[in-house]
Amino acid sequence: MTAPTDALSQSRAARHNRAAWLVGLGLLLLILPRLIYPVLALDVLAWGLFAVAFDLLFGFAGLLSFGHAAFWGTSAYVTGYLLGHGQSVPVAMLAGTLSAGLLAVPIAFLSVRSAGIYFSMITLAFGQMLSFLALQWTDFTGGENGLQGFARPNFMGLDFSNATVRYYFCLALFGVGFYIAYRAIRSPFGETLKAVRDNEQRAQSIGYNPNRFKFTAFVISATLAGLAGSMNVFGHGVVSLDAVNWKTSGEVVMMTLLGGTTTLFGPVVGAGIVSLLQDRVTSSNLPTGIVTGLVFVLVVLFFRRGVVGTLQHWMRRK
Amino acid sequence: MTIATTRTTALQTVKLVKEFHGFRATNDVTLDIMEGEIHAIIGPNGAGKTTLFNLLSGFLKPTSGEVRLFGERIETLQPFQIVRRGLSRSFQISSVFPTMTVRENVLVALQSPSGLPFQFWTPLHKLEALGPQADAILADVGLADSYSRLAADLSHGEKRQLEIGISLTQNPKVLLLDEPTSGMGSEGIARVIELVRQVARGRTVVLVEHNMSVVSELTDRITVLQYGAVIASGKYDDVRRDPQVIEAYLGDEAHA
Repeated sequence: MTAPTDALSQSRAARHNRAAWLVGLGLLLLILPRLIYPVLALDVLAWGLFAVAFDLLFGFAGLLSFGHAAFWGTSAYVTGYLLGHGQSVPVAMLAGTLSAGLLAVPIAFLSVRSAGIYFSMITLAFGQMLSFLALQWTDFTGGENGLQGFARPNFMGLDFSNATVRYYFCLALFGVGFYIAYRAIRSPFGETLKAVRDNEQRAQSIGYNPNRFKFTAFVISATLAGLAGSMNVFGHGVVSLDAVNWKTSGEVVMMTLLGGTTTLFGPVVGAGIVSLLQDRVTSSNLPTGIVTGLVFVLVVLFFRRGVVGTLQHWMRRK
Repeated sequence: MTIATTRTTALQTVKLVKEFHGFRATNDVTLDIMEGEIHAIIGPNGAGKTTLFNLLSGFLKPTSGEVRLFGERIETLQPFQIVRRGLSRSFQISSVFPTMTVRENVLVALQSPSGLPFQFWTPLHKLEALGPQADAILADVGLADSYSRLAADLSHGEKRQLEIGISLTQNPKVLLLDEPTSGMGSEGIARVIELVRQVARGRTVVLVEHNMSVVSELTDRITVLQYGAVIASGKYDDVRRDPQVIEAYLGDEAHA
């Protein structure tokens, strides 16, 4: 039979394609602090991982969360709080990440029972709840003032007052987070997730419990969003109410669509474009929201698959 | 043909009722489907055939009554739990995974009983271990040459073939097929008849079917539904002579 060998060679071509993207993007991230200032590069990393986490749920499980800021923000507050109370950087970041995953357990449990717009509304509602909580619970969050002025004690000889050092520390964490997302997608688990996304009824009738897979994807996604949130706090040294704002949830949706959903690398590219754009526009006199919104509309109109999605489509056609 | 051993009941319903806002879509249905038989459920549109299928496969919960699979009550179980107990179904509207290739459709279904699905530390190429099984199923349903095509790009008939292939991955003891020939030309129908015959070996098959020539050619026994209730059940030739059935459904065809 010739079928299996053919199928294998086809997936080998796809694997080469992925490897090329991985190497290209990896090299770019390695030299990024030389191309743009390190704190902006840190933004790209944190938002990039956030968008990858979001797309794990949106692209591969078909669930559009409008409340992912809850996980990014919770982790941000926990990380900032612990750093302000004398904890080391790894402990604070780990605790932040885990708190996001823990928060996701009840939210995922309640929300994955719904689909489509209902799922989005439920996650938005939880996101808003958390946002109000952050505003009210000033002892922990600092309310309107946020958390700032906390130390980032050096760790194993790494000088965290140096933004470039912070960048490479976060790049390692980004690598870990990205690898976890990659494994979740390129595995039997990921295939099942896609099956559930494609046709839930059919997935049930071949013995899968759809809610269990959606729940697991949600918790992994939220935990990775938490890791990204703690990276952002570590990078900037401040936590503000923006971290739990619904606009943050919206921004990650935009980045993912801009870069290309289900492309794995697209969300990182999307996060990079939005971060750079916002940086440029903020330092000019142009209104930020209108410019980024315009770029978003143009990309959605002319590159429906997003930047990376469109590039991959062209490369495949050639 | 005489059968030496007493045949057991594969699938059974007892006084099965499903009400939607006071409307009885399934009305006191008691059915016995024997192990190894091919059994057709027929009836005019709206007779409750698909509702009955949904009750048997767990996609709907009955208002009252029982469903038994080899004696075990299953009417309160979820669809995926019923599949694991040996009952698999296809759908009236072709139901495949459109963004995956034909082969991936079968592979993702094959991995379900294997315990792999929750392993995200397992690289995807480990799934290749299930490859020979997948290729065998694709050959069985006549899709061996289409393995690399996207399921979304298949023709209607091919989607139906793939659907049956997906159901077969569960190696079901009882297979429910909801209108396997719907929307097909005569060539496709002949192919499906052959396919159903083939998959029925060692299995119990229940099908909903409108095409009477398919029913007469394939089935051991048929059950006629009208307004959600069973009005006749038995061998095709006996049932077609039943005046109530002629009145309700077979009409012209029985006289022809």
